[in-house]
Amino acid sequence: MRITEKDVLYVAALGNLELDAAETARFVADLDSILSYVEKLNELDTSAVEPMAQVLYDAPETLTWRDDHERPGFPQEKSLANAPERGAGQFKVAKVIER
Amino acid sequence: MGATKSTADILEALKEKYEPVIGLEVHVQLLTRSKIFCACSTRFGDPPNTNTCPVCLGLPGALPVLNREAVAKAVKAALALNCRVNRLSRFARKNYFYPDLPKGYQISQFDQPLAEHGWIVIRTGEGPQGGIEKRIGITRLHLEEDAGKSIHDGYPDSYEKTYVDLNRSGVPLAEIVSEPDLRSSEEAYDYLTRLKQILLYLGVSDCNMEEGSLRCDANVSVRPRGQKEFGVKTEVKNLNSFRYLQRALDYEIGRQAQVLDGGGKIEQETRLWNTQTQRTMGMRSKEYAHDYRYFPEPDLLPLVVSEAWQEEIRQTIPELPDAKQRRFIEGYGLSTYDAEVLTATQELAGYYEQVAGKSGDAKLAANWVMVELLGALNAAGKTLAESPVSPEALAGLLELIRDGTVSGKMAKGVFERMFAGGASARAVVAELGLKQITDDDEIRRVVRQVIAANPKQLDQDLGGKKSLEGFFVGQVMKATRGQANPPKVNELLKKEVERAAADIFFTRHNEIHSTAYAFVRNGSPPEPDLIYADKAGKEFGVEVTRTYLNKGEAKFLWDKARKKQGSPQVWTSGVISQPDQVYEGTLLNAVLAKGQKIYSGAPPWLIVVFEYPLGDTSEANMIANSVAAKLKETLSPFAQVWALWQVTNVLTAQYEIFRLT
Repeated sequence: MRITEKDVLYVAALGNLELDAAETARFVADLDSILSYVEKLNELDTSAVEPMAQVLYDAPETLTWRDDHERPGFPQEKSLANAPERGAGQFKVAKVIER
Repeated sequence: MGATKSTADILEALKEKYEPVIGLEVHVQLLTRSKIFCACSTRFGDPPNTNTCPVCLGLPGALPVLNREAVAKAVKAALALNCRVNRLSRFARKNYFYPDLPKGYQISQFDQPLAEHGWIVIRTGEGPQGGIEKRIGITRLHLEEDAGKSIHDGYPDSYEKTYVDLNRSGVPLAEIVSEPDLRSSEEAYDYLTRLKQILLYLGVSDCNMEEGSLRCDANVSVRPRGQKEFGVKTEVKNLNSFRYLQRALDYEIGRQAQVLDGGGKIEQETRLWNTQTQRTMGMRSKEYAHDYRYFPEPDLLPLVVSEAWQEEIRQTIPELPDAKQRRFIEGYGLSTYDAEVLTATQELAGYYEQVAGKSGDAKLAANWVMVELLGALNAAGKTLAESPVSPEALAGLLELIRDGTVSGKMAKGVFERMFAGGASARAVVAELGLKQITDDDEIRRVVRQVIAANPKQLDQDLGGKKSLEGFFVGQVMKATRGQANPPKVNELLKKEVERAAADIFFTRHNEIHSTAYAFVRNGSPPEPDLIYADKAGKEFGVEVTRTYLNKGEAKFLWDKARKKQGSPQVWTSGVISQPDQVYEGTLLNAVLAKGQKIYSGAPPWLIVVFEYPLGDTSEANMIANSVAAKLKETLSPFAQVWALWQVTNVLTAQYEIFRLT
């Protein structure tokens, strides 16, 4: 096994996830099998291939941007439509504790 | 002395022992109309959450599209900061959780930034020389989006709630990271000032700290002086004003030095500057390793900046502060300090150049812009753009100074009126009836009045006890309400005092020799200075000269005249051990010096005003005879040479005259 319980808990902490023991064990197994499957790709020699993060790598420059024109945004009401709680035209969240 | 050292002393000692190493991370908002990845407005101060859309709200499925103008402005900044712009750079996701970051990641650049390896030159230290130049490296400049704004205070439920406004979310930023080349809080201040100045010149950001368009974090470490390796650093955040920057850095430097000096260790952490307590405080995040899990942003293509585009942008870079300063020094003959002040902003430099060009006197323009204009703006709390005096108007005033219409002193009063009322210099001058009096006859008339009204001062002046030139000039300026041309006043005052001396001389001469010589007019060169005539109207020229003794001689002779003993030191001085010889020598030299000139018409008379009084006439007579004997041997252009003396212990006449030839 390449993925340990510690790895899972670390990633969970970064993702703000609370996992119980059963979930942790399941993720260890799941992540491990996913990574093992991907591992298969390493059987190919890709040393001469540039890593590709985006498709359309060779796109002409002009495809990658827009001109600096502004457009009206959502009305405030719409912007806040999904807010669980709101006040003074703003999203309201539980007091932020710096972490 | 067993006095306890003050905190300041301890900090000063630690400063000697430890050297700070500082690098700055500066975020500037790029001046665009729309956000970096969507078309929402970047306007500051709009109602909260009104400049938002699915992209900057982080709604699922929304895709970012890069704003070309943001890239252009960042490239412009990078080129001006001497960076190498990478042809290909890449956006990356920086993952972290915070309520003002709705996507859960910030789109930034990581291992392939837009530009690298730049530098700027700072001038550290104050003074007219402008301090020492130092090159500060710039590690990188990259593009990223801003987060929203969290408001932690000010609402009734702020104790348990944080309010979030996402108008800022997605505003384009350039992050500019310096090398750890800064060695003091002053250098950090100078670097940030210079950086801001360049960015303002470029017009890529308004650098407004209050509105958050310029923000600064610092990496700080200290090491014992002489050590090569860097110490452990802390990151200090929240340095959002120039004032706080230096204070926070000084605090953090002092804190680290104290920890190290006490044998402790610096913990690598993020610290927040607290403006209330004036301290940096460790943030609670320190127990969590920062793991942003950067990975390439799959929704954005790699950013390609072609050579051609770079070149196109390079053409738009204006003359930068350094080059402008050099041009001001070389082209206008300004000092380094003056050039630095006048190039502080493009607006000021532009204003100055207009004044210099239109007035035709670059140095005069520099003085007036720096002293009067900036002083008045400062006092009125106005910006240059709000100045009631335009460059043309100021140049107009300088023209009036240059053509002699107003004196420099009068011009200050005129400027005040122009600043208060916005009128032109000519209008103010006309309104106040101001006009510098440059007419010789007019000034001479006033000078004569002043001399006639102050006979006591004239006696003191001619007696050599003290120079009353300053007094007379002051009286003349007062009588003309400051409008007389000062160099003219000085010139004419000298002439008129001589004329007054001549009148005294002829009054005495007429008494003794029953003559009726009287003043007729001033001569005009090559005529002698004064023209007198006898009863029959026969004119003759008169020249007047005045003699001076040096200070030591004068004091000694004054003491002698008042029957005081000279001090032993004075007596031993060879120069004046023989007071009569001193008198003789001085008098003789005065006559001979005057004899060099050539006058038109018949040989004139020469009157030497001898400014140090003798005790009595017999002593004066003796010296006069002695000088006369010596003058016989020399050729003189004068018909007669006379000495005019103040004699101290003669009852009837204050002045006595002696013929020398």
